[in-house]
Amino acid sequence: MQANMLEVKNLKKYFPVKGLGFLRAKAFIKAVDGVDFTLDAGETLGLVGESGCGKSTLARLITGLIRPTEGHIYFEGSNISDMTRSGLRRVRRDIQLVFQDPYASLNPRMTAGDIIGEPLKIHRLARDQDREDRLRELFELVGLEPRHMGRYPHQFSGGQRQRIGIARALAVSPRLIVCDEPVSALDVSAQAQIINLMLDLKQRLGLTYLFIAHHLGVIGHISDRVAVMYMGRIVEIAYRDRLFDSPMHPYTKALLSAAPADHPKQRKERSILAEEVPGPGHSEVGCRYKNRCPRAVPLCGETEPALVDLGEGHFCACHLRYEW
Amino acid sequence: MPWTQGKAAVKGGEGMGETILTVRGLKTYLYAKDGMVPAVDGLDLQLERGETLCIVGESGCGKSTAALSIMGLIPASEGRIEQCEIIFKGRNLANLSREEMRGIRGREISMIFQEPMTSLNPVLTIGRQVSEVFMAHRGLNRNEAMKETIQMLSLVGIPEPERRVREYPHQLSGGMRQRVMIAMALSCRPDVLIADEPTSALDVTVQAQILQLIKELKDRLGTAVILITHDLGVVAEAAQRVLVMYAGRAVEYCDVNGLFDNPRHPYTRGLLASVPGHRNHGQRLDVMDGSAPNLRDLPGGCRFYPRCRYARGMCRTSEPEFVDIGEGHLCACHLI
Repeated sequence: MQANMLEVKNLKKYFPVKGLGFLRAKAFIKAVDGVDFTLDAGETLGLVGESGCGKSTLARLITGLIRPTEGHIYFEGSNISDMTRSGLRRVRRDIQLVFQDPYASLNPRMTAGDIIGEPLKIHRLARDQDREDRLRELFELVGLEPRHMGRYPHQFSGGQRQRIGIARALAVSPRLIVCDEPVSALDVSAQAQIINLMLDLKQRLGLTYLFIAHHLGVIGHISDRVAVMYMGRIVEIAYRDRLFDSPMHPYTKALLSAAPADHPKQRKERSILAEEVPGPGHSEVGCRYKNRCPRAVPLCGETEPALVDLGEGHFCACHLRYEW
Repeated sequence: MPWTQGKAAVKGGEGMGETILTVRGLKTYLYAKDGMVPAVDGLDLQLERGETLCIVGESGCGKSTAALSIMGLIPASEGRIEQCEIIFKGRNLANLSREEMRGIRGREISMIFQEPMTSLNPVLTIGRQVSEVFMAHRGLNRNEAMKETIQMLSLVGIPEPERRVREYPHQLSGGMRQRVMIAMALSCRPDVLIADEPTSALDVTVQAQILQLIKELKDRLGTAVILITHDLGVVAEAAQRVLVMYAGRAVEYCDVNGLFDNPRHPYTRGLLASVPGHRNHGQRLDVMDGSAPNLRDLPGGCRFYPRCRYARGMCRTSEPEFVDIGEGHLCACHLI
């Protein structure tokens, strides 16, 4: 296993808030606000968090679709966050994105063959007969029938459309695939089919995944390590079993406790989060979780806890981590 | 009727035993551009006072259409309900006039939907929308209705209800909006609440709050709940009994422990085997191949046979009946 395929350092993305008068101080939504993590070649890092926590923004930053406000992204040692357009173009062959919505992310006027073949055209990877062969290969790889190449997206089911999205990402033979909620829009049985496909592809092609989801079951099934994101920051990151069996951060605990039971006999009294996520105008001093945290102490309102190494690859950003 | 035989055998558990809603042979056809779609095709169900029945199935299986049909909310321009029985407290709702139905809907049977943003009117305040229910069904004047509204909002756990009644839906979070919907639905203390995917658009921590709230209010007010969901986690969390639907029909009905411990229909088994989790990390899930059939082009025989690994000759030719296989456990499969 080669170390550190991807390294993200103090990554930030602030979006200006529109609609404020020019006399007022400029306001920002801090979608991603100081994220650090590494990803080894061949592993799957699951990124879990609730809506608005910045996980999709992080996906767009890593795939080079938007530029960071601050911080760096290193892919195999080279800094891709300040690359030129042509440099990025080369990197995009190595890092591909699979989107959540298989309805919105496919052009309805293009055939499945054209959609999957477009990256080959853009990156000038294959022409004529080569292109035909490669397309056939890609269709079979994701479990689609090559004879359906001329069909349009609406003629496929949701699960099949997601297969098209995956084949499009695979067309340029990437090494890292960022999957942004790839199964959230699918039914239970289609979701299971796509999870199986992604596990198979990883093994056959030696892929590395950054797998984003809000569903703890999906994350737990597919990930080797799991990072928990809350309001623009990673609050805990650990190997899968460690995170599920002995979470350290109160937010991770709340998230795991809120997940519905696997079996009716496991129904439990849960520590329900009292308040909901504060809006963008919240107090910026101290820990971002302090308003919902059942154990907050005065220190939590004063300084923001750093992501601290607890050993064995377990990191947690909480002042009280040893006192639980 | 298998239902009557089956029910007698169900023991203990919730101990209510009084049936409040019985649906027999519900068939709903929806009009599409190119003909009629049999969205619900012969559904039976039975609901007891105070219980939570989960209807589970994948998109297009007819679970929402069934709920709308019971509520009398299928407009004549969009579909039609075939002759059937929807017996609620001794009256057949299928035979009621629109006026009579309007008196029941919202007062005795009410409903909440998946997306609370689209179900609330964006240009009216929360107070105005909730108090409308009290004015329409209980004939209260505006001030009295507003007082009741504030009480109801605090019952569903909305902080500072006096301030919230003056706000508009967009000023509330998704979870708060769903609480407002629940307040509206329960304001007349209905006997039956139909909740159609009430937590599917919500985050997991908010989902836990809303499920908890529905459970608490159900126990407190004695409301029977039909909870429609595609998420087996929600079923495990909230249901007492479960009805599994596939392609417009019921395929299995039993109590919730029976469903998870001893599922009998191959489709139910397939659904349960499709659930991912960290306990079976990295393993291939035991998936069902293919997808649900097109309702306009159903396979002959059992609707599930093209995806069923146990299918035999008779599954292709005759459609299995939904029968009691012991202790109130019903299943529609030839192989049981």
